[in-house]
Amino acid sequence: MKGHLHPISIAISRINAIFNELGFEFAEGPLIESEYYNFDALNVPRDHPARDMQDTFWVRGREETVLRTHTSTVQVRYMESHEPPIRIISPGRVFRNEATDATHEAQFYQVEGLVVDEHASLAQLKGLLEYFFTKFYEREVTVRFRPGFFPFVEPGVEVDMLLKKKDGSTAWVEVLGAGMVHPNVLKAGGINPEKYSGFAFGGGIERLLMIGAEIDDVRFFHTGDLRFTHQF
Amino acid sequence: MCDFSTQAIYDLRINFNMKISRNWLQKYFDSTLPSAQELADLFTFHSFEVEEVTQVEDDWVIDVDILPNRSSDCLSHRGIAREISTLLSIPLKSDPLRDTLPAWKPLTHTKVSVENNALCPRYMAALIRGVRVEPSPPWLQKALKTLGQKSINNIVDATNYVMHDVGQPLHAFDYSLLATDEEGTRHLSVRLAKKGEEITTLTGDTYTLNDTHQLIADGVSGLPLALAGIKGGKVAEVTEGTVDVILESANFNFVNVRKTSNELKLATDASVRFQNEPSPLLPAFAMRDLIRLIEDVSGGELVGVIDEFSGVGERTPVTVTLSEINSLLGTNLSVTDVEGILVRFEWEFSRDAEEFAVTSAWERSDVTIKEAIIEEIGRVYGYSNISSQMVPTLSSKPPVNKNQYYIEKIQKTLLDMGYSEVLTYTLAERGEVELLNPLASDKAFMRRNIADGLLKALELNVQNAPLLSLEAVKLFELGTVFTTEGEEISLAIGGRAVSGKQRVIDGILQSDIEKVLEMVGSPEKVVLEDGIFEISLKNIFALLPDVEAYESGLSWNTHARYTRWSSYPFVLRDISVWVPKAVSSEEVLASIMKDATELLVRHTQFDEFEKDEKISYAWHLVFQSYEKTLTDVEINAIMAKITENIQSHSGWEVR
Repeated sequence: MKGHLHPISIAISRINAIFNELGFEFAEGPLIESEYYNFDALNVPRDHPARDMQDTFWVRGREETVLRTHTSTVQVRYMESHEPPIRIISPGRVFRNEATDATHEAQFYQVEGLVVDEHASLAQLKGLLEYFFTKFYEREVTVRFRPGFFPFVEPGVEVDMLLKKKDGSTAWVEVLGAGMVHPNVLKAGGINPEKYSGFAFGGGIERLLMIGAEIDDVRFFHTGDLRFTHQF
Repeated sequence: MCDFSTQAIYDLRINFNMKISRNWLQKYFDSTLPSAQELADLFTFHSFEVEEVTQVEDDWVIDVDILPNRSSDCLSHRGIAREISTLLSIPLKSDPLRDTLPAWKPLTHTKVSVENNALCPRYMAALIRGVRVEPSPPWLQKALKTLGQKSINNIVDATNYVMHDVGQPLHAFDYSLLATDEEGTRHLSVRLAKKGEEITTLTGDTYTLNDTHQLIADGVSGLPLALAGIKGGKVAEVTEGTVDVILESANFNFVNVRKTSNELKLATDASVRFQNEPSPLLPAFAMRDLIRLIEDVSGGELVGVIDEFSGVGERTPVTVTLSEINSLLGTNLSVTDVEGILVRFEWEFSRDAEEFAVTSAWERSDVTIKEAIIEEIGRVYGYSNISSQMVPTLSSKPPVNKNQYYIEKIQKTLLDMGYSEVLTYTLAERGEVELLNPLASDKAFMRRNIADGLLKALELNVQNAPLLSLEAVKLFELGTVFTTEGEEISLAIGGRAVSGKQRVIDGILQSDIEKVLEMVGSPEKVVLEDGIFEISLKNIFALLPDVEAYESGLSWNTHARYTRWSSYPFVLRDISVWVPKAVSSEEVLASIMKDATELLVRHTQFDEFEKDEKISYAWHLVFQSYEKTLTDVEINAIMAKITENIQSHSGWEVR
């Protein structure tokens, strides 16, 4: 009898396969990260309220060292050592210092996407996300943008998708944050913002799965319980 | 379906809720505004999220989630009205931030001193004499009540009203409660607190301060009057007996207000506004409106105004070209389109061919780079009008991530061998890397190994093995472990017998793991500890060859449909049945199922043997309810029914 793979692993593999075809490299970064890559390089200055936006774990005995709160850390790390055109996808574990409940976990998975090119645009971001979601969910998905704010993008958008549910109904659900890479972030990565533009998007992988399979508790992903894993 | 929190999205966000009254907004327009719901939709797609729209008597309240970059101008009815004016291209009847300011008389016998201009760029004080402190007129009470604000008295209500109108936090002190010096002068001093200095606020809470917290103090008596930009104090509180009031309209440093507010765990309508860096030009406009309103509702008369202002930097135009706008948005806007949008903001701009030089309004402190101008143009134009495009095709293929390639290879191999994958917690009870601020003592370290987590997972799943039809639990996990040296990928594989012998499972594990190690070229000897083997893949992966392309990715079980399992215990019963040789197990099972009820959640055949002309089949039957803990009596009744049903067939016998 065959075993069952964890849905997060399947999702990461599928995300990678979909983006690989479009020329995206699977990039990685450390889970224990400097405040620089987690905040400063992403245009989240010290003393700025944005610094309080996420509940962060700090590492004892190491200066300005945190458990990364998002996979966006990989953006500047990658840009530092690569020239445009850049296309990366970076799934991985992230941490938030907050009490857990059915919709909050102290550890979860995010996937980050980054494109830097001469004419990267919001229109391409929209087209790419529609392509991705349609492939990922194996059903037609429409995407819409709403104004949003994240310090590392400008313009910033909230991404909703229109997805058909099990009962046949459709509804818009909020699924990602995204936007055009802020010129300060491009500069931090050693890229000339006058010549290149970029877009980035990021979201929770558990969330992508919870929406698709209609899972009602985020904690099941990390309990090691086969009553969960065996369903995938 | 549950309402997902925003946590798992991307979030680096701190939004502030602002309740907006439609009737209040309407005061800004001659033309009738769209309905509250239509306004909410307008905001959602062009400005910010809307939490909810509720009817309050003859008014509608829109609860708007103001984005952080708009908190300096939109935590106010005027800011929202300005936004509507731009989005719908309808003019404001009048704009309090554009109307001229009166020339006020200076104040004598009152002085204001600001210790540190960087922490308090502006401090305005106005003296109004002869007020009658009494309940506010009905219109004012109603306006505040609609927003869920409590009405206190006409003076306090006036400060609150003007704050909700133009976004400037304001305060009033009882003038007579300030001490006078030998010349009869009263003195407001804006200074840092002394370490250990205490202040009791209007609500009666006492805070002990440190020397980074800023105060408004009585410069003569030295007593603290207010926590700058956060909350007023008890000392000079306006009460029924107050006759003369000092009004404060100031600008405090946003970082200092935020830090003080965080340290004292005291967030107020004022602190939320100040920590988003409103313009130091705003206090004068708010002061004008506050003086007028107080004169109107309390009958007092203005004596004069002091304005301690260190000045504000010149706003420089931001240049942006048409092609930069179209390139970033992916649109085909014309010069006329862009001009048409900029006009709606009523911002100063000039155009040279296809280059625009734009100076945003002074209260829009967030618009300082061309990307911000492009964002403004994009959202007014409407993101829904941006058509999807595909990224261009690249000539070269991306490199393959070796870790991911070999991880998938290991996953597929173990999957085929019957192992299931789990992900356990990275935050652990022990390890080499400790957290400074852990959530709980059993999550204070980064895990040093996966084995500890896998052991718990094995034990958990052995308990549930009958539910999963498993004779042995075989698990693996691939993940990061942490040492003082750094991070590495580790693989742990383990197994537990459910009913059989662990020795047998250990033998299977031994040979399975050897196959996996052989596949990745590791000479490591397999030694099981408690039925688990763990190995670091860091050096193993480093020695493996690079690859050109990924194999086909992992795939879903497309029949998978998630259902929540019951949280009540299950009951396991076995049944063995003798039947004539010609009878199939399916027939017998059908007979069992007939009376098993929906409480039978799982059946697994575990035995089958022939003897003479008969055959014996045996099943594990698992019963479980979603509503309650099942009793033996209930299950016995079901088993009796099943037995009776089977025995009714000639030649069938329950053993």
